[in-house]
Order: sequence, then C-alpha cells, then structure tokens
Amino acid sequence: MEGIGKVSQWVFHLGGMRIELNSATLLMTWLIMGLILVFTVLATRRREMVPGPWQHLSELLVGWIKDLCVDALGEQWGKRYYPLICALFIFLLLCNWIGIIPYMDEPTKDLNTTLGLGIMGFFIAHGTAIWVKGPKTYITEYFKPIFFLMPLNVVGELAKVVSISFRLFGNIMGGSIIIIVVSYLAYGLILPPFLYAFFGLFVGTIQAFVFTVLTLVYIAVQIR
Amino acid sequence: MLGKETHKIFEQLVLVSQLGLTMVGCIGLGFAIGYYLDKWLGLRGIFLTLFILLGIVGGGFTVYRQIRELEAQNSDGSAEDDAP
Repeated sequence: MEGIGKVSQWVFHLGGMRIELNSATLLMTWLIMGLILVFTVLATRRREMVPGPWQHLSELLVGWIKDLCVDALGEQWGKRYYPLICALFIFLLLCNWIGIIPYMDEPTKDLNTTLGLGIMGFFIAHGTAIWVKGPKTYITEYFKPIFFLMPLNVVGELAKVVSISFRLFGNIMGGSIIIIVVSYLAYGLILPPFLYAFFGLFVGTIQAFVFTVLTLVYIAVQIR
Repeated sequence: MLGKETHKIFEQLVLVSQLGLTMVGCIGLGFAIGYYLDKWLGLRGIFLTLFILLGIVGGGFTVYRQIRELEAQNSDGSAEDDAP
C-alpha cells in the first residue's frame, strides 16, 4: 500500500534552480526506447520475401497502422505521417505493458509523459494545419462561425490536449492503484494475476490505441 | 488488414468515447486558468468564475462541433457508398 503515490526522484541544483527528475519514469522510458530499437533491429536485420517471425510481426503492425493513417488522412498525408503514428502506438503499447513485469513502472503512470505526448500531438496537428491551409486561413477558422466564438474555439482546442493526456494517465494510474489495493487485501493470491492481465494488457492496449487514434483524428480534423 | 469501414468505426468510437472527457477537460482548463490568474493578480474568484463559465460554454461548443464532424464523416461515407 505504501507504493501508492510514491514518486522516486533525482533532485539536484543547477545555478540556484532546484531540478527534479522522476527517475523511474526516465529509466523506464529509456528502457522502452531500447526495447523498440532491439525490436527494430530484429525485424529489419534479415529481410526476406518469406518473412521470419520478427519481420512478419513488424510488417503486420506497420501495415495495419499505415492503412489506418491512409484512411484517416488520405494517401499523401497518411504516407507522410504513418511512421510517427506507428512509433507513438508502439511506444505507448510498451509503456502500458511494462507494468505487468514486477518492479517495473509504467511511464504513462506519470502525467509528464502523457502531457508531453499530448502537447506533441497538438503541435503536430496545428503545425500541419498552418502548413496546409496557410496562417491566414488557419487563424480565420478560429473566428468561425461567428467572430465572438473565438475564445470558445481556443479553449476547445487546448482542452483536447488536457483530455487525451488525463485519459491515458487516469486509466493507467487507476489500474495500478487498483492492483496495489487488491494485492494488499488479497495477499497477492488468485486475483492479482488476472488484474495485471486486465489492466496491464487489455486496458493498456485499448488506451494506447485510443491515444494514437485520437492524435491521428486531431491531425485529420486540422487537415480537412 | 481491416477494412476502411472498420477503421472508420474505430475512429468514431474513439471520438464518441472522448466527448465527455472533452467537456470535463474544457471546464478543468477554465478552472486552472482562472485559479492561477486570480492567484497572480490577487483577486478573489472573478477570473475563476469567468473562466469556469467559459470552460462550460466552450466544452459544450466543442462537443457540438465534434458531433457535427462525426455526422459529416458519416454523410461523406454514405455519399461514397451511394456513388455508382
């Protein structure tokens, strides 16, 4: 139970400023990036017409996300953005799954990670909108349908970042709290493995997919 | 792997599941902006009230716009299906 709300931090001072780094989040994020690199090397090391298991898995995943992107964004923008969307999905999937291994923490349990990814999606969507429509058209769209609705449009766009970030963070954090509480109450018997499977694998996959598709849809809405 | 129609259903399901959170997100954002503006300017709840109201109206408007987008997607899809 003492694990709830515990944040391990590295604290140091730099030029009079106190800097706090969430060590578990950083370490886990780097570990996941390492795992993705290993997976990439395994998948692309010996590419053949009849694929091996790693190549087959990566082709399946990348092909599916490419189709998803092309359907949402169209041929031109879908092909341009699918590497980003694919990387985002694989990263989030591993972030959410890593919690099922004992002594490992999900980086998505930290709001900084999810908010960072949400802000990244926001800048990509709006950057693309400015690129596609031009700055003038982009700005005038905030004044539609009536000019005084501009603040509402701005609040709505900013709230998208808040809502997708808090959704992922809340789901993963909530799942881990439930696992800790039930494990404490049930003394680690019977229930926890099923809870890990449910919150770690099932909810983790769904939330990674939802975050990825929402980022994709927000880009698509800006392009249309 | 999955058809275009399935992808569209996924997208729309995800968007629909996000509607409630968008509303909450708008109000939460309004609350946060108002709270910190009040704290910064030393006021006692004027901006908090204003921005919460803006968040409520903004949330409603954003949800309305998202539903319109979903409808537009649906009508585009049915137009494509009806095309010879």
